[in-house]
Amino acid sequence: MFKAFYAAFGILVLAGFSFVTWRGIQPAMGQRKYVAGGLRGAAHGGYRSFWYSGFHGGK
Amino acid sequence: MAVANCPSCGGPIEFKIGSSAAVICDHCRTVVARTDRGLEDLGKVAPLVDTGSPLRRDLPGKIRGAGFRLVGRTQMRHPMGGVWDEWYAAFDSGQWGWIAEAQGKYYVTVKEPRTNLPPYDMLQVGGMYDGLTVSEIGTATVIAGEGEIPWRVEPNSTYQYADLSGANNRFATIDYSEQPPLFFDGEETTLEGLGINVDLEQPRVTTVKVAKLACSQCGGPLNLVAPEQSERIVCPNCGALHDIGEGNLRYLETLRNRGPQPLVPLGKEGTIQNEHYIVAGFMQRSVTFDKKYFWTEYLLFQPKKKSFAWLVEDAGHWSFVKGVNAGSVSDPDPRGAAPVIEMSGKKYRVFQDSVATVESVAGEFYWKVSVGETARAVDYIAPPEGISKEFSDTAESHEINYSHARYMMPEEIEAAFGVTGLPRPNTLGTLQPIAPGQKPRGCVGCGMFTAFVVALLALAGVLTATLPKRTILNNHYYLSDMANPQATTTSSESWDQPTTSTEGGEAHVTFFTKPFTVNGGHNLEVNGITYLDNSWLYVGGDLFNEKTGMVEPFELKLEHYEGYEDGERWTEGTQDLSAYFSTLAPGTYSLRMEGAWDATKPGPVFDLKVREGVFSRMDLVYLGIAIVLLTIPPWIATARRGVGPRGFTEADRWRDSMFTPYGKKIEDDDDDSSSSDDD
Repeated sequence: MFKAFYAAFGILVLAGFSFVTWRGIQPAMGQRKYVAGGLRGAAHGGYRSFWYSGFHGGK
Repeated sequence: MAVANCPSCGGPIEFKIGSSAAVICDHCRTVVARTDRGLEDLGKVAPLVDTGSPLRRDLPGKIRGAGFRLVGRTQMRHPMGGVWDEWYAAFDSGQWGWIAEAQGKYYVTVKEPRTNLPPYDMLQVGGMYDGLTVSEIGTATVIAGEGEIPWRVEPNSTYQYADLSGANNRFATIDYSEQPPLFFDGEETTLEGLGINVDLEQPRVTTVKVAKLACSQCGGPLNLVAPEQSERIVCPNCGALHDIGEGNLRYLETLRNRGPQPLVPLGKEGTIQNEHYIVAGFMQRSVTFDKKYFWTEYLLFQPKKKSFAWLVEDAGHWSFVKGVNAGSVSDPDPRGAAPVIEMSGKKYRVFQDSVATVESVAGEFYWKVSVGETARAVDYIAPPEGISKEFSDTAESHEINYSHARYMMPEEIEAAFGVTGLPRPNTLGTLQPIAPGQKPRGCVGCGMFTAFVVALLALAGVLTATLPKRTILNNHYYLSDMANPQATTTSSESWDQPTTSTEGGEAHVTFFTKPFTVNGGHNLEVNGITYLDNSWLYVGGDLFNEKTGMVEPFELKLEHYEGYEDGERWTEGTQDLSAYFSTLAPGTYSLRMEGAWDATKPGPVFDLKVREGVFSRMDLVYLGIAIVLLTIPPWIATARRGVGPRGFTEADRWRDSMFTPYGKKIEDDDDDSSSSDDD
């Protein structure tokens, strides 16, 4: 009973790993949005700017 | 034979035995004593309590060839509650024999002349007399009787007694009802030993219908399995504790601590060692060392012999426990904790000396059990067996009881009582044997787990090899040139209308890559590499679909610092970072990049590489998650089944013992003291 269950469970885990790895599923880096008319037309500064990031390196 | 009339009711009474001292009238229960002056009315005794005894008056028997007939009995109340029968056997030789019957055990004795009996006040349980161990001292009360009695019975009179036991089932009693006291010597025996075939007797009907009692507090049914023996019962519904002595239900209190539920339900029937048992009572007990340690005990009633046994459960380990004659145990220090005791040629090593406390009770018990009741217990072990010595002390009685335990697996308990799902132990039990060649009971499914992990790693290798890893952009940017459009660009790709600015000491540039084609179905890696000298570069970007307008942002925080401090070189930061995008739809995409760096430093070089279908860091996380998921079923199965003794050592067993020979040698240590001589 356990062996049958574990065999099925293991195959499921392997299949799941194969799927997410092959498809390259990643946690979202940021929200995907849709910008009407395309981003190229909204540049420069019209879409967004990074000034708020505040990154100035480690020193 | 002398026939007379009862001085109380006038009914006929008969002295069949010439040496009998009294007869209890069958009509009015008056005790009629035979004196020099005639018959004397000593008062009435109470009606007989149905103790479920298979014996009866006029029953013949034979002990070692000596025939006898049971002619009478008295019933005594024990100071701890409970009633026992004293049967009087008139031997064909004219001698009297006393047959005491309690909890399915029979003790036959005859009076022996002794002149050196110890005074009652000098007695101590565990003490010795004539090679016998004093196992109990107390005060008994005469409550009922019938037939002919060899002594002058006075109703409700009390007398002090001492029970002693010795090797080879020897049993003796010192009776302090007279001065000088009387000595009765004999043995513990069985019905077969008394020459009585109980199967030939008519089944007895319990006259006290206690089995049909209902709880006085909640009205719930109290299903008694040992109505003739039980003294206390706890209602399983509301926890009300009742006294049920002599069939009368008397409410005492409602127990607040209901304790755990029994794993083997009360009333459940089962077979252990070919004997039929019913679970009558259940209690949780504890001992306190650095903290409280709990275990549970199941009182088992054996209907055929009217006797009791115990099942003890401790952290998934079980043991079957039966009382043994104190005299059958060779104990050099009956009142203490001798390093080694012996029984039937087997030596047992002392393991623990502690005070056990009753924490909760449920069901019925043959003594007046109470929560908080304490008893000193000394445990000895010789796995898979053990001996426990318990001291019970009250104002009225002092007892020392030895019991023998044998280890049982949860599977055996399940098979014996038809229950399932008992928890499996994860530790080595105190009595659990560690036998060479024992079937390994390690991790359940670990072979499959290993196979799955190997398959998983192989799969990861195959995926890494077969993923497209298609490079679709590989650009080299001189950000200084981009920030200074007048300068000559050396970029490998011209940029699309870069805009630059300098603000707050930071130089900024924004540009677009040329559109590139993504086949889709895989992830996308945007890798940035720069070459910095104690500086930083921030790259914020957006991947966007030229057609659909889908936008997903990312950022790369690149920095590199280095120097010497306290004579040592140090570096900090990373100049190579990647961002990953989840599965993309096929289409034409571009990157909008924004770079910022310290304006006082030269604009850094920035290498941008875009690849489709790569094995990412996240896939390593998935690999870890998959391995963790694969451990769960074996872990649960192993926990349910138990690890078993494989892998444990004797040192593990003795870790919790106050007498451990590992690290603290006990006195008179004997290397083979816990080994079996008869194994």
